[in-house]
Amino acid sequence: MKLYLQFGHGMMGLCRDLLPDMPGSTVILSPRDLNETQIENLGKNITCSGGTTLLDPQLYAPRCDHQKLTKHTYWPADYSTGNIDYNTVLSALKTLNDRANTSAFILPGLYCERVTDIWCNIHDDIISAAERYSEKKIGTLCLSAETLRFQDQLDQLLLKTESWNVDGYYVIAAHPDGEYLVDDPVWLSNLLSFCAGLKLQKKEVILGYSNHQMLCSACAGVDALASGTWMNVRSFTLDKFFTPDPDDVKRKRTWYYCPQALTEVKPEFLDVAFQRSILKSLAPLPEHNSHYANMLFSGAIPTTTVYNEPISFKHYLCCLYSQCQIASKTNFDEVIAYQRKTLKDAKKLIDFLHKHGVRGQKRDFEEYIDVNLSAIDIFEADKGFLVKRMWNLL
Amino acid sequence: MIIVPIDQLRAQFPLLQNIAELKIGGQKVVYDAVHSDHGNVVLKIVLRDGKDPRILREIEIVKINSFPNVPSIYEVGNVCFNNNSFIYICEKRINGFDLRTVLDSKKQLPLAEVLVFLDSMLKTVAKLEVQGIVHRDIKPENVLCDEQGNYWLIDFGIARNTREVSLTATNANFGPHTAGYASPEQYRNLKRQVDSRADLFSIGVVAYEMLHGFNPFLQGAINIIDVYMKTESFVQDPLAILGDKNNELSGFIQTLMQKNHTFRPPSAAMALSWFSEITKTLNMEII
Repeated sequence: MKLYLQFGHGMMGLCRDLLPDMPGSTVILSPRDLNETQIENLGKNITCSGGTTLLDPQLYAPRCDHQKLTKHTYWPADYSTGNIDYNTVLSALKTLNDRANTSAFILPGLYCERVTDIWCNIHDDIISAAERYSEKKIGTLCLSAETLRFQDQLDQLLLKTESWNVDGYYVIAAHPDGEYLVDDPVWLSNLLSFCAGLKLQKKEVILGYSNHQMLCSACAGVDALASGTWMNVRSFTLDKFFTPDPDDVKRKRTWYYCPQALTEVKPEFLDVAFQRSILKSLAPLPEHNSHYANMLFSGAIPTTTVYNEPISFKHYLCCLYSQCQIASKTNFDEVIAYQRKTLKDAKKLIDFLHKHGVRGQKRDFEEYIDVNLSAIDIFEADKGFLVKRMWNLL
Repeated sequence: MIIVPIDQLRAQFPLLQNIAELKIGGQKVVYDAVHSDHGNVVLKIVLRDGKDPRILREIEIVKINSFPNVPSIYEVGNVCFNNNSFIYICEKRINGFDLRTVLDSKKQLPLAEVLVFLDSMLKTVAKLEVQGIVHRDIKPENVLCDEQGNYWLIDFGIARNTREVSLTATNANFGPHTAGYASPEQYRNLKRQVDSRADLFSIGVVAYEMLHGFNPFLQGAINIIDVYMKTESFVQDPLAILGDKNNELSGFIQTLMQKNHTFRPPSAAMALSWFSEITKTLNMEII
């Protein structure tokens, strides 16, 4: 499994810095955060650095009013579900993809509140309109948390995806209640089953807007996770595509990601660990290949170092890049065993940290260990027989 | 309905002896007889219009192809009684009982017999698959168990050759099926999705019924809608099968019965191959 960089705010400089650490990486460009000239220039820079690009059309929301997004030439003038000329949209998007030098053409997809005939028909139209393009095509499946809660919805969708002539799917799974980490094992196990279903249909699967909780999707044979800087590119929310309310200013905090605990903590809690002489237990392991947070473990009090947001993002993405690679295994039994071991080891470390007063607050993974273990158990019990045997063909 | 007197049958079929009525169904009358060349046979007189495309298709499918565990058709033709023309089919007689009769008397069957059933049906469906044929009606009533313990698949009345034009209207709400054994894509008439995986689903349901003594979709269902709901919401507990220490056979049957065909084995040939591997893992000494 690979890590793709999900472009978001503050990502421009990060891409330049991270690409040498992540050879051959793919960056999913975001029209919400880039104008067309920036898309073109960044696309060139990334490909010159040995990376590849994709372009997320972000046409999820009807009547989306985000100013930057709606300025793009491909954006429909009257964007309602019934009267979009997808030939025109695709033609403009294709031009933009060419300018960005993308490796595949991500087709637009509407946010799916429920899998209805209308939603399916619109996507039939989009995919049919894309038939004239010979490029590798990736369909977008942007699913509400409600859709992911119900297996019959996903079964219905899998019957459709089987017939759509695309090479892969860019799956965007809205989290229940917009939470960063998901506490619903049914949602998560359904997502695993759905992704496995797409893989069994011989489609490439990119799981967009993801965070480290989705490392378990390696069990479903997912090809790539896409993640980025802020929470709004690590979990999907439609709000991101509307003009922000000026009163809705969120406080930004710096976090440190401890990959072996799957937990993020604020530097103040690293100070606690420093004081309790257990700071080293939070340092990334050599296999995580991240040097960005070294300053935190150099002997200084963590909050006195220059560890800041951009560094924390680089550290997070660098660790996740390695964790994605490590999570890939040659057979299903190994991947399942590895996921279980990772979660159990994380639990032990979290318990140890808690005993010493080191906590991740809202980003503490303690209560999500069981969620992931449960989802993996359900997935293995329900689909394990088949996925195990089909593993090499996924 | 027309009852053909036995003496008229004798006159029309001089090579048949000991003709006796076996069964009168909705579409045909079936007789037991001994053929001077082929031995024990059944003679089917099709009561409906002899040009019924489903009947013709059934004959075409079975007669042209030689499938394992499917009784051979020896002769087909038209016969006239009381100035009416009918189709007749003379085929190999399987001495035994249909699986429904067996299940009604024994409820559950030993694993060894279930394994023979699975092996026979998977081999048959794998051969059908090569020809693009889907039986679409595998159920205990259409499986015969002979005196040697072999299982035979009969009644290709609603079989479909996926390479030919469908006989069911595309906009029909329901495709031909037997509720409780048919897969969701089959009864929902999602034609493009119906392939050999629909037969695998039915084989899984019958195997489950043989092991447990009940059909999980029909058991306790108050009406046909309830059967469909159970078919689409059923979650199988791991079957505790003696000798199946790694739950491989249990997982196999569960996979055959997946409501979404994406999660069933991708082909009957692959299912057969997996089944062969699984049988090697079973501890036959304790079965």
